[in-house]
Amino acid sequence: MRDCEKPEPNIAPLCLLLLAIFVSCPAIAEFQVSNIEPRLTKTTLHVTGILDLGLSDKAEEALSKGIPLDIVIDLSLSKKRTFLWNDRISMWIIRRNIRYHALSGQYLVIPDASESDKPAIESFSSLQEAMAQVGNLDFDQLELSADKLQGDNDYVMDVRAYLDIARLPAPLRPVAYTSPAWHLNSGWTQWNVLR
Amino acid sequence: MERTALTHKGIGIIPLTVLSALLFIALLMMNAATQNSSLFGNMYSSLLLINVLGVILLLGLILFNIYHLFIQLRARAVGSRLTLRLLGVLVLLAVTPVSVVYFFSLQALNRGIDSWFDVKIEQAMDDALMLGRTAFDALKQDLAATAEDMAIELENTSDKLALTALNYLREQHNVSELTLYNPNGQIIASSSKEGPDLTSLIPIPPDETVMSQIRQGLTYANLDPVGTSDLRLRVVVPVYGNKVGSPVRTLQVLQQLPNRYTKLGESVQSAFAEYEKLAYLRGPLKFGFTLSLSLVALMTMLIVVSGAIFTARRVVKPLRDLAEGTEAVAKGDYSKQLPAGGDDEFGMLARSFNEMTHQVHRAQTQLRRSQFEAEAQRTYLETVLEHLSSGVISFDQRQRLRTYNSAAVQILGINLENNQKKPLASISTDHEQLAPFVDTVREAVSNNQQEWHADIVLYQQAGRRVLMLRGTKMSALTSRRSGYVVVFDDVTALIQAQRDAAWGEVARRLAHEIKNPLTPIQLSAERIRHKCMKQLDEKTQNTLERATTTIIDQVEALKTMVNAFSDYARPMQMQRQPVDLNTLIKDIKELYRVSAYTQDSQKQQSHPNLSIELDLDDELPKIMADPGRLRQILHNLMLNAGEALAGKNNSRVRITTRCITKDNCHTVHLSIEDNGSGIPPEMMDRLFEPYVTSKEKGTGLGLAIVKKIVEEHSGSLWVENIEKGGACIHLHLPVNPALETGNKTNAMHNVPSPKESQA
Repeated sequence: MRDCEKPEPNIAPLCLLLLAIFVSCPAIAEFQVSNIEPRLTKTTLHVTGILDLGLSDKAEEALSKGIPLDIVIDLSLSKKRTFLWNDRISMWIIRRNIRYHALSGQYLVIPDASESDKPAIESFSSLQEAMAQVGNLDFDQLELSADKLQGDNDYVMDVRAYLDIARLPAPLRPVAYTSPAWHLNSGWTQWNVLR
Repeated sequence: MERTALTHKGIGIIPLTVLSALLFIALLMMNAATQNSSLFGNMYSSLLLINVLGVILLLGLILFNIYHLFIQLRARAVGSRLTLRLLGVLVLLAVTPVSVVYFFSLQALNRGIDSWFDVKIEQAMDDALMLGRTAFDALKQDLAATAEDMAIELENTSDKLALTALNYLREQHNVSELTLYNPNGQIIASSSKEGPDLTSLIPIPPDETVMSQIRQGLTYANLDPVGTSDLRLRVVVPVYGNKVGSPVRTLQVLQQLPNRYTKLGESVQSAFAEYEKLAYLRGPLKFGFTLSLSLVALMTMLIVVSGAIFTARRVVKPLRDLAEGTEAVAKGDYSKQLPAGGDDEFGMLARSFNEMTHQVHRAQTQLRRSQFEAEAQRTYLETVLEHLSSGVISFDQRQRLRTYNSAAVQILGINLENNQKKPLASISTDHEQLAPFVDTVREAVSNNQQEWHADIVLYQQAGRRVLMLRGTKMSALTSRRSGYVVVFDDVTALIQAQRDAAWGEVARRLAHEIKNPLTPIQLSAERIRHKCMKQLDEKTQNTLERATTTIIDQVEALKTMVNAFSDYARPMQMQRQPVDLNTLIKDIKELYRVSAYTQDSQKQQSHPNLSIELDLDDELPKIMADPGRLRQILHNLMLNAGEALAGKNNSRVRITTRCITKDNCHTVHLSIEDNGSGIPPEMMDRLFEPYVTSKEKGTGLGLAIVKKIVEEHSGSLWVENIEKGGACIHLHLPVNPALETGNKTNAMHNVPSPKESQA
């Protein structure tokens, strides 16, 4: 994995920093939505899937130094329309936190508050396992109002996962905003909803 | 290259102030966000973007202004150099301190942040963590040994008895939880001190990493965080079967740590984690501060530069306006007004300049108006002078010709344009016939006479001209502008008219005073002869007869003469009718051809050699005239020509007719030319007066009557000597005298030709 070089922040003139916003090496690590299987019942949406979440070296380093990272998973359910853009029915924002516990050497994964069926903290001895757990989607019951699901319409689910820079510590945000190593975002991917 | 005006494209103070204030606020907010402010933390990216855009905008404005300034500098716009110099000084004065402050602040900031993190503290934190780990490692090793003992004991325990065994072992070794997994990771049995886990009914299984370690026959022992602040020990060991090939089960032992251990451990963990986080954030923190400081410094410098541009323009503007104003004044634009400005020295200067240009502009306007009025007056005078029938000539102090009118040219008969600004004497040098005129004027000027008048006579090619001169000295403020003006009239025609009138009066008186006594004289003489003839002797009778005959003949002669005068003085009764002048001329020619071979009773001369040549215009129109009078004219002229050619061999008379204008013939021209001796010059100007003749005989009324008949036909005539010898009489006769009279009336304003004026 290739490292992304950045100018030294304490001595770099502002112009070079601004230039770095636009001209910088691409991040190797990236978030990808590997597979999503949304399945719709009458009023419940079941979503299972796997997200390949790879942290950049900078993010790994920050994590190992005790900086907690928030991974946000956006799920959006829309009704397919032929001639118009899809009609969004509902959207869920899943926020999972990963942090490093120095004393035990464990990576701790704290699920979203809505994931009540999961332990408050899950510990993993390796980062890969922890990230795999973060990227593991298994939502059995995402509630939907019945009036939004009408007829036999086709539905699609848009999924996106990204590192929430805004939740980083404030001193780190200028670096994160100006460095592509911190811009980890899978972008929106669309998946057909099974019924 | 022409200097252009510096335009006012630049940064306005209000937009600049607003932009600066917005950027300052955005900087404050961004700085607050950097200081871990929860209020602006989420807006950091927007604030950063706003600041970057503001900086770009400011930079763009500055670059645009500098580019514009250099364009004006290349175009040598007024004030551009001064603006550039002032801008340079202001930028230097403003940017240098900011740069120095920025540099030292950056250094101090970096050193200050670095000083927060002491190497000793970092080492102590590492040691504390290591100490904690070591302490927990001892517990882990104890628990691992216990777990291995349990695994040995469970080797002979079947899955069905596992729960009992686990309960026993848990009680025996006083651990929190025991769970036995089959090789597939499924729970065989689990025993917990406090029943099922509060957070999960199912015990948390070891993760894949632990399981792979177990499959390798190794023991896993580690500290597990539980919840937010609790710690527990997890030991996982393989449980081998007592038979060969038995599946390897897995035993997970969880031991809740005592609260004291947990608190101490968590304290060390949180302190270390916090320190590590801070140590890691040192770089980003410096970057954040550097970014903020750089933005502040950059923005300050840009705002200062923008303000410097604005200030330079503001300061230079009055000077630029003044320069433009003086340039406009130098080009003659006195209407240029500068902006009023404030109450400072520039404002006072602008007001003084405006007052000055206003005064000059007003004076120039008055001068222009005066010039216009003078020009109008001059045009008016020129028009009047041009249409005067009197000639007008003015001279300057040095007697150089200044102005003249067309009547002067007409009367003097020379082109005065060639003598413009030439001395008066040069006129007489070039034209000797004008010597009397020039001498009279020069004499009057030399005598410095204020007003004078004189009558002079000029002998020109057209004949004798009598001019009446009136001179006036022109006064002027300066001697250079003073001079003389001479007004003169050609009174030749007037004198001639007066003379003609006098002769008419003489003729009328002769007819009245002389003719009346003649008849009684003649009758008395006849009566004397009749009464006395019989009473006298023969000798006396003869004497009486001769005397009375003489009386009667002389009276008859006197009667003839008086009748001739009477005819000359009597108004003519014209019988106008269309007359073909060519036919009339041919008749006269025929008459003289016949009479050349006969003895005329009165004219005893014969002209056997007289040749009459006709050069007649075939397109000559008929003229409205009295044919008898025209015949008399031709007869008198032919008679005069014949008398002039008497005794001359090869005598010749040439009669020519022409139309004056080809397309629309209004006047016909008749000339009778002989090759005689010509007319003596002294008679030339009085040739058409009665009793002016070079012959010993004759009344001298022939040409006078010709002149009178021509004038009765509204015509004109003049005579000239021919250089080769002989004389030529020219007549102009209008085709339609009535129309011609009207034309002459209309043409009074036109300048007559010299020959017409002569007639």
